[in-house]
Amino acid sequence: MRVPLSWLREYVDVTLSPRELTAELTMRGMEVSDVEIGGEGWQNVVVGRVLHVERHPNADTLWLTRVDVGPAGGELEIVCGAQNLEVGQLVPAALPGAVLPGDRRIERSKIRGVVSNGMLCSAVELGLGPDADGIHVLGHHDELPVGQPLGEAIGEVVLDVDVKPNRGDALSMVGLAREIAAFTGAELRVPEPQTVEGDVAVEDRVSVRIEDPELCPRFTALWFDDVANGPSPDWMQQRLVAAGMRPISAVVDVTNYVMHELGQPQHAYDADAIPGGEIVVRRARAGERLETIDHVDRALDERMLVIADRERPIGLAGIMGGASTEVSESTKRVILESAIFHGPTIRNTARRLGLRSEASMRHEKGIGPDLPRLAAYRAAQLIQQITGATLAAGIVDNDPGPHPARRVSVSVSRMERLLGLPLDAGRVRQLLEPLEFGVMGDGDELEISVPSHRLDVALEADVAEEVARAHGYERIAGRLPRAELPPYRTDPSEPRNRVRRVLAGIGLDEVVTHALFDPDDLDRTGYDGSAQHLIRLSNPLSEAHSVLRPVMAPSLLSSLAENARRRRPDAWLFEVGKVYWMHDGPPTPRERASETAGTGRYEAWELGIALNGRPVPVTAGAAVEPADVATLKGIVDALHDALGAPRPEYRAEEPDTRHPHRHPGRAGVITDAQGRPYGSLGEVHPRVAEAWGLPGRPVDATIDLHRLLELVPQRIEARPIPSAQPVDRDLAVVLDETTPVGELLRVTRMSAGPMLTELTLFDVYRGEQIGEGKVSYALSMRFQPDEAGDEKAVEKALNKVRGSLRHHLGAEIR
Amino acid sequence: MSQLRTDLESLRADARARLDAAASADELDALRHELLGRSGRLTALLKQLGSVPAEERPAIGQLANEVRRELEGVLEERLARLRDADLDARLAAEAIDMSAPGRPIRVGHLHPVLTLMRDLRELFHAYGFEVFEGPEVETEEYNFELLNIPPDHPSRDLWDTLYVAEPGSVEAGEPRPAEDGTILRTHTSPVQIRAMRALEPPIRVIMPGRCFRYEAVDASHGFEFFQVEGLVVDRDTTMADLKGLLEEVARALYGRDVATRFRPGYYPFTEPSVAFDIGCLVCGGDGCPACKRSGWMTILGAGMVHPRVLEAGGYDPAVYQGYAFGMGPDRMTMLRHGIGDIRLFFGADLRFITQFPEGR
Repeated sequence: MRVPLSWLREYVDVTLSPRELTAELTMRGMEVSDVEIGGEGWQNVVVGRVLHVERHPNADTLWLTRVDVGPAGGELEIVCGAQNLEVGQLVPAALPGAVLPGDRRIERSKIRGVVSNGMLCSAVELGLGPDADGIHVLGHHDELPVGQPLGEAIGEVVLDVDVKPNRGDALSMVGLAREIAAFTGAELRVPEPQTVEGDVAVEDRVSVRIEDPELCPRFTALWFDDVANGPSPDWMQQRLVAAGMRPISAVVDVTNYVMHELGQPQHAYDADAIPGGEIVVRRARAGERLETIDHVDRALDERMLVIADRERPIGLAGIMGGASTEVSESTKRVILESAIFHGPTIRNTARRLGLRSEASMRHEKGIGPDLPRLAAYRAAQLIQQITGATLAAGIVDNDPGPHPARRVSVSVSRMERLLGLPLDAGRVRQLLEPLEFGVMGDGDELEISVPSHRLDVALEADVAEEVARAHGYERIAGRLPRAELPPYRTDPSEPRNRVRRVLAGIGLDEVVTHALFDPDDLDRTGYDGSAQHLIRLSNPLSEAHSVLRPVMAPSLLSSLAENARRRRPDAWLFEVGKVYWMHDGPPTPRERASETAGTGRYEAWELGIALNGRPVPVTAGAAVEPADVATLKGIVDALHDALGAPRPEYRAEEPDTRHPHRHPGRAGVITDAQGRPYGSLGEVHPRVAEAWGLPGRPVDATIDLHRLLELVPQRIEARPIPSAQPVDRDLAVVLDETTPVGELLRVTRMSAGPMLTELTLFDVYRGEQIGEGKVSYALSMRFQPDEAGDEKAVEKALNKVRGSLRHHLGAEIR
Repeated sequence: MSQLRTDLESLRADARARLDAAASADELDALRHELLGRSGRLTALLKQLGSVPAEERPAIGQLANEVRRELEGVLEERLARLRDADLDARLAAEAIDMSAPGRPIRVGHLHPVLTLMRDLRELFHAYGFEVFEGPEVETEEYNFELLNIPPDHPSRDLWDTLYVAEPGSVEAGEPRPAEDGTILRTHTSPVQIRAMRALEPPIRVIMPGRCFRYEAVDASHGFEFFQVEGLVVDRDTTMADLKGLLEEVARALYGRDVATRFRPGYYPFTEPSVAFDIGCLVCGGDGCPACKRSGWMTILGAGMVHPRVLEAGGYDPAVYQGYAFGMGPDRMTMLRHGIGDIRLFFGADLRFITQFPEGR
């Protein structure tokens, strides 16, 4: 809310500087998010007096003026195009070298052959309002000293106060003044409207029927005859502009003025447009429409509350009036509404129509029960003053009150325990009474009566906050953390963080990408962007971020592509992130291990690795090869080694379950020793790489982190250091080329038993000596016997390996 | 003087001369063979020892041993010297350009926001806080209602929400929010309820994670971001404890001398509510555009857990109380490194990521 200080001062004396006031309000929970010091954008602009005006010798529409700009500048000749100049006026004069808002610089210049020593300014040039037609006249006599810098003369200080949603009562000048009065001890001056009532009884003119009292607990109406509606006075217009409102006409401006002054939104109707003065407050009916005063024709529904005449809606309750009853300069008779509507209904309607206004915002936050009537009479006073209208006698009011104050029972000791502050009944009274709370009782249990404008205080904790606020949060003595500690729990994020640290240690860069992405990215990656299991948004910011990713691949490829576009095609990176999907029906094992809010949507942590090109630049004397599937496996193996998990096994993906973004001949699954897959890896399909604009032959892997981390042993048991020397043996094995080498390694490892500590495939050979369709593999094995000289055991193990390879794989051992 | 003695002496002189002249290890090896080998000259001479009169034999035998030792010594010495010379020559030949670049080893980098979150975990761990996690795809019930934010309450404006669509509605061209109220969580606060329901007091947890909001993207806003929530529930933790903790946290993160400000804030799920500021890190408190001339920067929101939230978590607010707080690690990382654009955090710009060795 924009709060012009000069307006605020009408209700409370403020002796603090704007900076001090800002700090004080902020410390009381009325956060001042910005301070606008009027005239800050004006440099070298002063109050000038027009001494002489004559036609510009060379231009029919321009004037040549002589202006007294005070002792510093003397009398200056200034060319001006405005048509409202008169001798004797006080005007804003921008001297040569002046700066105006928008960083506009004014210099001495020649205009149609005549030197102009500066510029006389309009309101729009000063940033004071929309008026561009004439000079912004400051006065006609001696209202301001000639030569005074304009900022000093008329600069307004405007605070931008961020009133919290629970403090609707502070959304007004009086509401804020009340807070300031409470903490500075100054007196609060609430307007006490004086009105003169005419002979006509309001009941003879207006009737109000409330069909749904829950949505409209209070409705008051006043009636005015003989309204002469013209522009509102300058002082009112200036305040409204400073507060961010646009002046319209006297009657409308008064309703806006009172809303800013007291916090009560109001609406004025052209009474002659309401047949019989009959007003009905009801829900809209299906199919009804209303043209609002912004001239938009709106479709209404039963969830919306409207103000209607006998037949049709004439306004959206609490949000915006209708065009048919809009007050204009020709309006003669006016009905003034001051009402309380159901906040959630107003909020819901305003949101759905995209029509949030200063009024709806205040209704949402709630209006105190005593406010409508005060505000109605305050507006009546101003309308009478300004338009000379006659006020009908009496007021239509469905709930004149009285409205008893809400009572809250509190315990002083409980509030002490909550706040960590020493308190007693006297101190509570001392703190709360300036805020208009009543405090009854003297012991531990107190009855607090809540002022009618404070709708936010209903519980003991709310009262405790008021106590803390009045005491000053800054004066609460902070205490170092203490108290009993909870039992130890393991950190669920730590294993994931180990994975991240290991991968960074291996030399990969970590990326974090959006979980929300474009369904087209799935299609581009070979997946189905229209698949049923995708979690989609109903209100995405854009199509580019409209689904939660079900797989990591598009994120990984887009990460590579992002860098390739920046001429950085070589990238080795990883992301630890979630994938998301939807599934009706009983959860799968993976889903049972996933996080879910229980709505059939699941999310699980996944590791994605993507490599493209070389890890480091080609360097003289170093063999730096681009990444391929083998590089990726090396990284995956190293990750397992570093985590203490057994190395995985790799096998080709079955064609029907193959990940569609991968090269069909270079796609594999990552499995545990029992052959259960928990990840996949391979080379990116060249068509997918092309679709992403990826050069080279990128490879990627994705791993179910939950399953990977399950493989990490809880405890590592140390093995005794063997006394015997290890025994090294090599083995040459010839297999059919259709037999995967993984099978050779698996069978070797299984048949060799625990004595085999290292197994390396150190050569692969194809050639005539081996024979058509055959491959020769050279394995190097290291055995660790238990006892020195236990070579027999090694030979036995080796024989078992030979036998198994022959038996299971039809191998020829050479 | 026997002939044998003379022969030994001449062998000695001749051998020494030839050993001195030998220029390579091979030559020395050949000489060793010729002079001292099993069928070498010295052995040949010794075979004549039998023809020497018995009384002379010990003296000549001694001489023969002396010659052998001497020649062996010379030989070893010559050999060592030649080896040294060979090595020197090889080393000289092996000199490399020491100014040449090394063979590169790739160093990986961790994401700076996740590193800051690690630092927060470590910091809070020291105060006895454990990590607790919850889902990102949440329900309105947990995200709002259980946190004392009823439907159509104006405080909902604090969290613009991304709604998960009713299955099939997007495909049908009429997107509407899921009937079961599924949304993307707008803050980590719903995890407060999950933690209270899962744990026994005393509860002292931090809850890090990704959040989502319907928010236009600019240099300081994103629709995805991280939060770290904290929650303490026991019988006697007060607002003074909250203040003490936050002051310690600020000192740990921004230095012992950082100015702090503990002031009223507003959240529906805390009462009293707190906003916590530190002295502006850019201007030091004098006021600048970064702090909107206030001299302060808000780094977190906090408060005493609202009684209705305690009830929603399953606790009697007459017995249990505590505090909660929420921090924005993205913004904190921007402050830590002087990063001007929050958009750099989501994406894979390696020009950015690789600036942070080990993420720090």
